[in-house]
Amino acid sequence: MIVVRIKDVGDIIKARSAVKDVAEKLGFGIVDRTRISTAVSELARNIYLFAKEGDVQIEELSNPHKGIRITFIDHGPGIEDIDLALKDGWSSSNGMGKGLPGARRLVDLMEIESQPGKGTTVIIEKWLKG
Amino acid sequence: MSKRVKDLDSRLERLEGALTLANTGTFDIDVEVSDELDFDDPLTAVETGVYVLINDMGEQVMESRKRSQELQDKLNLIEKQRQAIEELSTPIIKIWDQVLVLPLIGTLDTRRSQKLTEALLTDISATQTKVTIIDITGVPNVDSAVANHLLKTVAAVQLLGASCVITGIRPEVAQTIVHLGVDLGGVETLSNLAEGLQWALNRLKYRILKEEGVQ
Ligand SMILES: Nc1ncnc2c1ncn2[C@@H]1O[C@H](COP(=O)(O)OP(=O)(O)OP(=O)(O)O)[C@@H](O)[C@H]1O
Ligand SMILES: [Mg+2]
Repeated sequence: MIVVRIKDVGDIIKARSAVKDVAEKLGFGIVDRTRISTAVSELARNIYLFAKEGDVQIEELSNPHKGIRITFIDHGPGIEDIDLALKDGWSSSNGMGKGLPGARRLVDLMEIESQPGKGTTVIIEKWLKG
Repeated sequence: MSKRVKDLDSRLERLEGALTLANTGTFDIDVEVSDELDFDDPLTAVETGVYVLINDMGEQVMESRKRSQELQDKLNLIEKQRQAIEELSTPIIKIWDQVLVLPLIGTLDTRRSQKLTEALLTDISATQTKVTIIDITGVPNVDSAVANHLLKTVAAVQLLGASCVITGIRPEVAQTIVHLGVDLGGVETLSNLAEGLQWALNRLKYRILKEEGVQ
């Protein structure tokens, strides 16, 4: 497992290049690599914006799907209403509100666990097809 | 013959202490298992097993910390080089009278985007530019923050009275933008820089004619 700490803006790019690296090694094509790294951009930026710091963990998946799993962990303010946060266009920070819903459309699986005041964990997976 | 267990209480306490420490991530135990290994004593085997295991775990943790530090160092180095390259590669090119091209290369974070936009807007008003082409062939990722930024830049350029076209959106980037749900609908886009230039010249009412009969 590879862990990238998110503490400043540059770390978002670090997380993205680490993920791209792993995805390429696993055999993901350019379109899927771009999707995965864009989702990583969104979720790592959310850590940076809302929780200030956190971790991005990158793992290889073998069972039942071959692919990649990326986990975003922070101990920030948490998300009050996850359904609302997943709505297209909803943002608490006058962003575009595209990050969470967009990331969800870019991957095969996304799970969010969050407790207000405790922090947020987002898991995404992209599977190799065929 | 029943086997003897010496100092049962204190040894159990030590074992428990070592396991608790290991549980919190501290693996440097300093215990002499016993002065001389007494294999008649049934607890000795357990002690040896546990302490050896803890030691191994400690080594593995050290190893993985070292590796993750190495990775971190590598990522830091790449990031520094990336920044250095990007500082160098942010030209704004006047390719025609009243036509500017901003060829974006690499990753766009907020700070860099802002700098580029400022430079672009300054140049536009200084050179009375009428058409601006933002070429993103060299941008591997357009996430919502970058898209948002592009939209704002286009709007600012238009406020200065210039028109603006974005060229060079790669196919995989285009797909990703659509999935993200970002709407670039209000922005003029063309597939490559050459088309952008043609578009710009059209807007300025230039016509490019190929001369007939010339070798
Ligand atoms: N890690 C997090 N910790 C706390 N709140 C979060 C976290 N991630 C997202 N949120 C909340 O969910 C909302 C929606 O997130 P989303 O990424 O979709 O939009 P945004 O970040 O506000 O805008 P955009 O990503 O389009 O620039 C955020 O405005 C924020 O309130
Ligand atoms: Mg976001």
